[in-house]
Amino acid sequence: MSEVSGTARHIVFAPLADGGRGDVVARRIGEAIGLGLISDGEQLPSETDLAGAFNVSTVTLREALSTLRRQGLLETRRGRGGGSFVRAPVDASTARLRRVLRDTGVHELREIGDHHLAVAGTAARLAAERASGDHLERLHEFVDALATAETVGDRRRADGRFHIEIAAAAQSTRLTRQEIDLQGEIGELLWIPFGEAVHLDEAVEQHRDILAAIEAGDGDKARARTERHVELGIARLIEFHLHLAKR
Amino acid sequence: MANAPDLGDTAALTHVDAVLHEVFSGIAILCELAATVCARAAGEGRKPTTDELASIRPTVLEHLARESPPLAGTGVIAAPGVLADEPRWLEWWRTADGRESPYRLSVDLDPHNVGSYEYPSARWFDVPRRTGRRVVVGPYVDYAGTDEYILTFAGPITTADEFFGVAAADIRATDFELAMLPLLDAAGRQAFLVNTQGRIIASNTPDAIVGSMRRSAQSDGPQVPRGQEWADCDGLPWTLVRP
Repeated sequence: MSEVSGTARHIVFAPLADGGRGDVVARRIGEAIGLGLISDGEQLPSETDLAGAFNVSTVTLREALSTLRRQGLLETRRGRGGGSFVRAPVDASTARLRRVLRDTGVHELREIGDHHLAVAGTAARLAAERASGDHLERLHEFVDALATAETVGDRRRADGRFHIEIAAAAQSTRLTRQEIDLQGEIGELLWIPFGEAVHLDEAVEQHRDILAAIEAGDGDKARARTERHVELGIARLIEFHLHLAKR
Repeated sequence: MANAPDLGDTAALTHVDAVLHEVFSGIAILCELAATVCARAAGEGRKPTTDELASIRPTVLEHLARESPPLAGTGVIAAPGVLADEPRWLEWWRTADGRESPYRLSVDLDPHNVGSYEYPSARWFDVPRRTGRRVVVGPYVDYAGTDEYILTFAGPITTADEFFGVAAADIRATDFELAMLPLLDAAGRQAFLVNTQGRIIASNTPDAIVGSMRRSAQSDGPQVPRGQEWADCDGLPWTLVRP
């Protein structure tokens, strides 16, 4: 039974800037497991040590650990030699995605992000002018599908389809083709199981906001919200890439 | 709306009617052929195969060879589960720039992929399936399918009250607009056609280009086509607008 390595400890168990709520702690540890920074079977530091490292109360920390247990990412063993152990059932595709993200450099990720900004931002602005009722209906369906998706594959599809449908609502075959290519390139990386670059509830909220601007016919707002959404995702991917590269 | 049709309008009505007749008569022929394939298999107590459906090909290719207006593609799309050997299937042939002869459309039909062709939820498939009506859709971006900006015309194929799929034809937005230009010019110096959603589908003025939504202040001209024979067709009539 190994303990979490020094590098991972340094990256994952760092004080939280934002006051440290239980769900934020759970997310931080969950992402580290999803990205493979903490491996299957590794033992987490003691509750007191962890609470100290994150700079949160032990109550908050226990809340986080219980969330992770519910997600099936932690198992707690009692007694001597007991503690919290990571359970990371990793399939081949997750391992492949981690490799891809580790091998895709910061510059390349930034390039993908720049390209996506240009395509998705413009598509959103034009969709605000050109979308008809059936597009809006489908966009609502894709947001709902994302909110209720139960598997990571379903989330990635609902996320990707939302952006592709916006480009189609813009009445542009060129932007639509590019959006499909970009989703193929980056969609999987954004939705690595438990290492999701955009958190589900945030992604749903951002999609709803973008859709509201499109529905209101406000092209500038639709563009600005889309750009922000894309930038947040890319910034997180770059952060994850750096974690993986350091390991 | 109350405008009495002048000479230009009458010409417009006739022209649109002729184009729609041409397209939908081709679709009706494909519907009949597919229904025959289906009925033959049903007579033997089984589902038809993709090979049997391929027997419609010569007619499909014949339709693609017509020029007024030129079709981007045509064929039959099977409903999920109606064929014996494939869960989803398109017997669909298309023409393309730079290719001498028509070729069969090949698309990703695996619904698990983000780029798959989700035709069962496409309007041109869903409306005939749900309502039994014919339908005109577009122009729209047919992503994951033909990847073109097109109008689709479709009708249901039913056998013994069962829905088998649709027969359909695509016209590129550009070709459709070209076909409509004479009637638009006859209708006025500035004129355009809008579909039931308010989207401009053909225009003779740069102030209102294809794909954009009409501005609400513009007054309606006559609706085309007219007549009971189009009453069963979803997505019609279109409206002629002179800004």
